[in-house]
Amino acid sequence: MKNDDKGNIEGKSADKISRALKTVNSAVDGSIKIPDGFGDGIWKAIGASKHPLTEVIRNYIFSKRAVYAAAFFTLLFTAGGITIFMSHRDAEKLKIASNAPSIPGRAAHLDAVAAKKISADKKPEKAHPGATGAVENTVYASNAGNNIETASVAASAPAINSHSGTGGSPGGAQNGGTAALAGASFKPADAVQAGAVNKSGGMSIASVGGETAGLKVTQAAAVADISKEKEFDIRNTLINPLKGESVAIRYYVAQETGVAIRVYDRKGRLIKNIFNGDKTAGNYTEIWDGKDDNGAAVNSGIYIIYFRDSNTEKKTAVGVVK
Amino acid sequence: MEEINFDEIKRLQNGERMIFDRIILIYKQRVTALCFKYMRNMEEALDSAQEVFVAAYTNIKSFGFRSKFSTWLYRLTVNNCINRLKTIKRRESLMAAGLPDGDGGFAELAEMLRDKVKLPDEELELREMGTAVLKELEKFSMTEKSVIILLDMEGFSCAEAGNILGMPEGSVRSSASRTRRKLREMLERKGVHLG
Repeated sequence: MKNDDKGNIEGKSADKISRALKTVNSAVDGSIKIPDGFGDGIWKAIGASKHPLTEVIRNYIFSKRAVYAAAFFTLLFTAGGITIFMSHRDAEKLKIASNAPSIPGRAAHLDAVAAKKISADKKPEKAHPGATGAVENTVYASNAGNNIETASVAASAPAINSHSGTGGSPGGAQNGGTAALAGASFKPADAVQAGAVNKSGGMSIASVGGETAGLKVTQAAAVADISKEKEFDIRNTLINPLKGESVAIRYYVAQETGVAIRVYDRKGRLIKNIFNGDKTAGNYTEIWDGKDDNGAAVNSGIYIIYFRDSNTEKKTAVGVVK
Repeated sequence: MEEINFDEIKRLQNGERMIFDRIILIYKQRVTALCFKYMRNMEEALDSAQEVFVAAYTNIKSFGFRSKFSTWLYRLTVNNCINRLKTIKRRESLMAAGLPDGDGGFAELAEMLRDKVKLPDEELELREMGTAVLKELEKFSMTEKSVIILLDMEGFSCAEAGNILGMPEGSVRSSASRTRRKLREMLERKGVHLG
């Protein structure tokens, strides 16, 4: 026996069965009537919106998905690249800022000499004749260049009083003089030495107290026997103001001259006017605490410390990170 | 017979859902007719056909363009009908255990085959024989029944039927021969004259 393509066995009986089934099939196919809501039932089950406009919009968006994906990834890569570039640039700036020029042989000396700011207002009505008035000298001592230590040194009042003679009466405080001493720089270890200088009638402190009675001196001349500083130097070129770190600006004035110290940002905008006025001969230290003229902490970035006196003009970059 | 082309299928796979309306339009008659041959009940056939289209839409991304779309759709149809019949039989056996089978669901088929116009005697004879064959076919397995429906009623080749049923062509051929021989024997025992 031989099967054809439809597996039919050649023979009249099998052929008649097939023909009978085909006849039934034709009758069935011709009798099938599909109701009108057939397709709607399917769409209802699928849950698809058939609104043509919705479909058109949806299909348009769907067909453009590759474009959207490409645009998204392009944006992502661009943003990533910009972020990496910016962070790299900031790192470079900080690197430049932290590489402040070092002065050979100066480190040891800077350890020995620190910034000092004394602000003492002696008010006559509160002062008692001959009383031992404790004048607090705030001493900024920088060891490794970054750590600023603060120590209080009580200067012996009799030593000062005995030399504050412009008022004529014993005890300079009674003269109504207001003396503020600052800038005498020394390490905490040097405090004793400084005190000794004062007690022994150290000419600087005593004379300043006497000559400037009634004035407020923010930065006073340092002790005379401290050797001459370099003309201009900056310590702590990278600071975090939030941690209380500050920039110490040290400079030496050979003779009385006008001095200007200002802080500018990278775009040349004036951030803070640290000092602008006359200075007598001596070593001075100014402190910039990372704040602007309004007392607000500046943003992280690079800032230029500008120093000028009659014969020098210097610019040094410092970094502020928060 | 009209076939949907592969481009349209790709567009449908890419989300152009309105293409599916065309698929429904082209295939609803054929799918429903095939369902009826299994279910022998128009209501069940329509429900089954709708389920087939929903399944086709849901699984359209699995169509791999290795066969005609109609072959893939018929495979879904046959599987759906077989599963639905199994469910119905299980339900009936649970709910109407011990009740007589009645006409076995052939009343609607007989109504369809009733001559609306005057038919030649030979045509009438073939219709009667066809109905008898289908009744006997109920005693066969689903695979054997499917082979006969696809080959002798729908007119598919052994290869196409094999694709639809997921069987090798040779198995379809041998199954068809075996089923037809048994049918012939059963019909002869019942006194049906096969010529």
